[in-house]
Amino acid sequence: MKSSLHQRQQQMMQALLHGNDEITQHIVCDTLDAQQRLSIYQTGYRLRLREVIDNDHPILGHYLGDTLFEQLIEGYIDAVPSAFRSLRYYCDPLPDYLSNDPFFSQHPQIAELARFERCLLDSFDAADCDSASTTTLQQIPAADWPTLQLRFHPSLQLFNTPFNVVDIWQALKAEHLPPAPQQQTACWVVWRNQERLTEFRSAEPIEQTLLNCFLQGGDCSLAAEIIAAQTNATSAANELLTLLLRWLALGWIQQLVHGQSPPNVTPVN
Amino acid sequence: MSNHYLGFGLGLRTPHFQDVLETQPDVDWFEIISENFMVAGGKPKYYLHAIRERYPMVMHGVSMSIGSTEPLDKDYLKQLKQLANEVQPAWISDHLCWTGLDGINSHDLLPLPYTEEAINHVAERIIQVQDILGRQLLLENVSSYLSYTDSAMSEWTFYNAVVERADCLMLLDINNIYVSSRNHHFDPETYLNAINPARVRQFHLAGHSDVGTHVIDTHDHDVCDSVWALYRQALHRFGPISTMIERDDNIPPLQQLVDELNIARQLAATTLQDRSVREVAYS
Ligand SMILES: [Fe+2]
Repeated sequence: MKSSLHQRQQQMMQALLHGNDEITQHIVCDTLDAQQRLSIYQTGYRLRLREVIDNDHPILGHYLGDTLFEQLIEGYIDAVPSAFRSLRYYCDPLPDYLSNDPFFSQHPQIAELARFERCLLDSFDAADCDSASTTTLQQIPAADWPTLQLRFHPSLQLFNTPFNVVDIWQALKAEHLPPAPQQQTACWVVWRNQERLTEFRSAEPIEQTLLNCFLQGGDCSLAAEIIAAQTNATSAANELLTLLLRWLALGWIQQLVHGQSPPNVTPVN
Repeated sequence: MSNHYLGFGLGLRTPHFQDVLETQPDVDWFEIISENFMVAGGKPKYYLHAIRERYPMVMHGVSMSIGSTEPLDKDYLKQLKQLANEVQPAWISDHLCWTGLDGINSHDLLPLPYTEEAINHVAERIIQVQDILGRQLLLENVSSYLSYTDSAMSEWTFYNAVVERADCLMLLDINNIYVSSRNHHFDPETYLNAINPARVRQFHLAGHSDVGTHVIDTHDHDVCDSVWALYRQALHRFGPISTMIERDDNIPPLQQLVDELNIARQLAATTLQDRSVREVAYS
């Protein structure tokens, strides 16, 4: 026999998620009837989730305007109940939802904008660690250079997007009119700086290629080969050194390591 | 006074992080929402550790879902234990309720039917959790807006029974008693007088929204007079118990909450003085 506790909980969840009111037969009525009592919970459920979407995606909200954002909120709450203990993660599936929704997927920059906002949040509370310094780099013996690998700060992410959504985000953040959506391949690096503020900046194609090379466990000799093959640099080694110093100064590099140990960061795509 | 007495605390909320560090307010301890710090790093963890260095802390969870009929979430408990290792809280609390089923979280504190079946179910799970955490758990009475026709006893009878059976402790939310008493038409003093004083480790105070026909536990107002009056009754009955104010919405400047906390201090000072005078007179 099914326990009545389990049954009540199933009925209550049905009421919250799908508006099914079977549970009302088991609710005490007095000054308020069962439906009124239940609706306090039904309203609260949606309000709480709405607030999370609102807080996590303010720029997306601006971009869509009240009517469309409302449509997004209502649709998302109906389609995606929370599978998380913390509301911090409730909107993690939002970009996928937007990519698959028949209406929102007609404007693919919307999902990309949501994905960028998630990316910022992920860098915001990614793990802490000290960054390597330029001194560490200078102390590496020349013989160790070719096999040198990089471990990046846990907050560092590559945001590759086929749309100008970062430009749109920046314009809206500055309370300007956003540019029209445009298809363009863009790569941004998102990370958290020493003051624990999330930053982002665009990566040149060669910088992107090299970041990917190191993120996938490539070493300095491979990076130098890439530079030699893809640029007109007179000295690949100098070019690489300049880049490494820049990354170190930005706090992107957690550790300079030797050998074949597997990388600890994978790019987001 | 027991060695568990921490004095007067506040809920630690994001808008006050910087202010707490800079002004080091006259607050005896802080309560954190455990789930808000189940992240890897960044600002939340930085402030958590910096503030913990200066103040005692307790951890208060909102999604253990101790009353749910789905299996206990071992992953969540592992994270909770990990956080407790970092924070070294004076104690860990959650709510006597359930929050979800079948992997779906409602993020609400949903009421249980007050039945023998529920007592057995919840008590058995509390024992498991206490085993995993290696410490006694505090469970808080929630505000509720509905009760089930299945219920065979009062909320306070249920609460006492669960706590006795599981050998855990109580976080008595005075505002929640008031809110539920209005919503379910019982006498809040009857509730207080039924609670076993030996189990009470902490009080919560908070504001709510009174919509006339019922009251909603919104934590977005100051503590109201009726709740202060009930707090005074609670002090009479339970003596000095670590007390804190929860504020989760419409959050005022930190100093305003410190001032409100001082009302609690003042009330406790006079009430407890009366109480000891009375105890001496009757002894
Ligand atoms: Fe509470």
